[in-house]
Amino acid sequence: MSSTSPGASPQDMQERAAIDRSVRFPVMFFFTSAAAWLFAATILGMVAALKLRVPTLWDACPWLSFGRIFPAHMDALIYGWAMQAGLGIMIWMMARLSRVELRNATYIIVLGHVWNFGVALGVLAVWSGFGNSRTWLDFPSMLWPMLAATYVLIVVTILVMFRVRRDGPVFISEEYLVAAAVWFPWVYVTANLILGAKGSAVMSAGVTVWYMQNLLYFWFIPIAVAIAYYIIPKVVGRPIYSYPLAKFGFWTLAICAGWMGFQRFYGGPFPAWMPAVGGASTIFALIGITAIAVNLFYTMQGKFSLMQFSPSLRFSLFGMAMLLLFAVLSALKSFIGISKYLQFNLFELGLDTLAIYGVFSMAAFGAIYFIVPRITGCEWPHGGWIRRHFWFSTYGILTVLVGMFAAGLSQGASLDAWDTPFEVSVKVAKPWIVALVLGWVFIAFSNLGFFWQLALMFVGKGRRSEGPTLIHVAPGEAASAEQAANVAKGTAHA
Amino acid sequence: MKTERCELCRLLTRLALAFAVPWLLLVLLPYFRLSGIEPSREAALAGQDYGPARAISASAGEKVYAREGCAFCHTQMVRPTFLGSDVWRPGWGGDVAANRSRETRPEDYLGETYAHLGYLRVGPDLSNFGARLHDRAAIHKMIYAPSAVFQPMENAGEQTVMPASKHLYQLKPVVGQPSDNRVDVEGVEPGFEILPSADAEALVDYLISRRKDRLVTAPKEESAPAAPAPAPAAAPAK
Repeated sequence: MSSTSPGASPQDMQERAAIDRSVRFPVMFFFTSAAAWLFAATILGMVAALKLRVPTLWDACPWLSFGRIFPAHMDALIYGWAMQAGLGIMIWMMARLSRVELRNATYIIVLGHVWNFGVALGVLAVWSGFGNSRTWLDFPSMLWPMLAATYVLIVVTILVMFRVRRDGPVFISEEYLVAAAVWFPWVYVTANLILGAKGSAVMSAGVTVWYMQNLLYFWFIPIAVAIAYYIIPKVVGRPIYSYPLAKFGFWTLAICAGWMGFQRFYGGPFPAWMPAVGGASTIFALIGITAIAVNLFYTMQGKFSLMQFSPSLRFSLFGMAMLLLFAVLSALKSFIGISKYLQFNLFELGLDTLAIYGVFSMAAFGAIYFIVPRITGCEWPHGGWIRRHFWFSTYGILTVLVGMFAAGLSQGASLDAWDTPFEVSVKVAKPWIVALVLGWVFIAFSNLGFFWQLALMFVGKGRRSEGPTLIHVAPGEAASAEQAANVAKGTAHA
Repeated sequence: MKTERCELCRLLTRLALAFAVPWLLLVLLPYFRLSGIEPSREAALAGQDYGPARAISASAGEKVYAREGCAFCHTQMVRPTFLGSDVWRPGWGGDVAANRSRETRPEDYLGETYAHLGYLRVGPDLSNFGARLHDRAAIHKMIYAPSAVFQPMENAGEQTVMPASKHLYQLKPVVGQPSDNRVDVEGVEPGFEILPSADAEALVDYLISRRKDRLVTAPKEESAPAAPAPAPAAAPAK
């Protein structure tokens, strides 16, 4: 087992090793199938972006038209990659934090297969023309009970682990994980029941955006934050700066999240208070997210140089920086005067991509770089590939964000001038769509190394060595990022 | 047996409390209230009973619209004036000549199963598409080959970003006289014609049925323009 926390007793280490062994197969199953879905999603994303820019390309094939390939891309990204990566991380982290071994690994692997099967059916259905244009809920309606049941059955094991946890104070990451675990089925089932009931047409649309925003704010973000609260103290080697502040951040998010969503339909056919309350709670959530950011900043203080060496720290901290950016942009977009320009345009797409890729996925990569060596017993083969993964993912997501922000602003400004023909708003946004294509090309390229390394780790062909794989450090040169930083400082002085 | 309550129960109770409030107030209650709305009295008096929209929106055309993902680029929601100039954009808010251009309201979506309010506005809003265009041949041409329709327009840049839905049309040999409903595009082999499938016809029906500018209750001081209400009663039908 790699990097040991300083001061861990032999019993502790044995216990951790036993927990890691017990979760090895389900967690690796989720990580590898998530990675495969990420591969599919990035390819679909590339093609979708390309088709948005050049719609006449291969236009005899309906499978490649934007209206089908874009939802297929989003669904693969969310349900294939993000949710499975999240489930893997949840299982491992909950087992470690509760100090409980997982007893029913086979059961989870079977359920994991069912989930994959359901998502594959759904994505294929959307792609081949059985979708229904409901953003992120566009799987055919017979699939949702199966997906919801599978998720609940998986998550029950996580809750049971928390229930039988060893006595002691509850760690903040555990609270985030429990919240994410129970929040998703609640929102997902509510949204699907309302969509199926065929009552109010406008509320069906409303509940879709409510679901989207809740998924972002109370599934993706909590797991990303749980990762950061776990990894940062571990790597830096000091406790979280302020525990009350962490609690405050958690409950602010929990109280705000449920009210969000309708602000996507500002001015829509709803009683006006519904979008208004959505916008207000998004702005209030910024307080909670600032609390998280401040807390992590002070935990890191004076140790930022470790980011240079530790892949997990680098990815999860970047995710948190993107979280702050996402929260600020979302809050800004919730002001009516700004929303007027940014609503319904490509900026919306940029913001969603930022939340899923920039915030959640980056934090999840950090967790995967941390977890996989511990459960497989071998180290990542190449630090350089990890570095490339980080930088090209960063370029990718920032390219998407900047491009979509510019596209959105130009589109919004042109749409607001009522006597400018609509076509002008397309014309001014069109050049920026290249950024979406480029961004997904960067992301796809960055992930190639990740897939390859993960595959090597999966078959046990990782590096066998004493020290963990760090960035900018030759294998075995330093046993931890801390040590590497000290060595670097030493050479600088010498 | 532990005497103190377990951590899980405590956490779950608090989370449930935090979440049940918005769940009830923001989702469930509005859902039941909005499911019970009726067309406004003024619309009923003017003989506008939302007939066409109700008949066509839940039909095959809506399914084609949804499955081809039209709603990812086209909205069906006109925002009020404090949120932009949708209402003033020609044709977006409805029939400008009849002074009926306005933002969309919950009653406008009565009879639909799902209001395709949209995600992006890469294409124009379609709330009142039926008020702008009724010509079936023109709409078919737009769906079959958008670049042939939009390219010549001065402002459209080199071409539109609308994808062509060629799979909704069939290339068939001409039997006798060319069919009336053939799609009028260039470059079709001689002796052949492009005919819309049932799906394409349904989609066009759905698009023509997009009207959300029927009369609604107006505030007192603005009720003057609504006075000649009975006159355009027959107008919205295609």
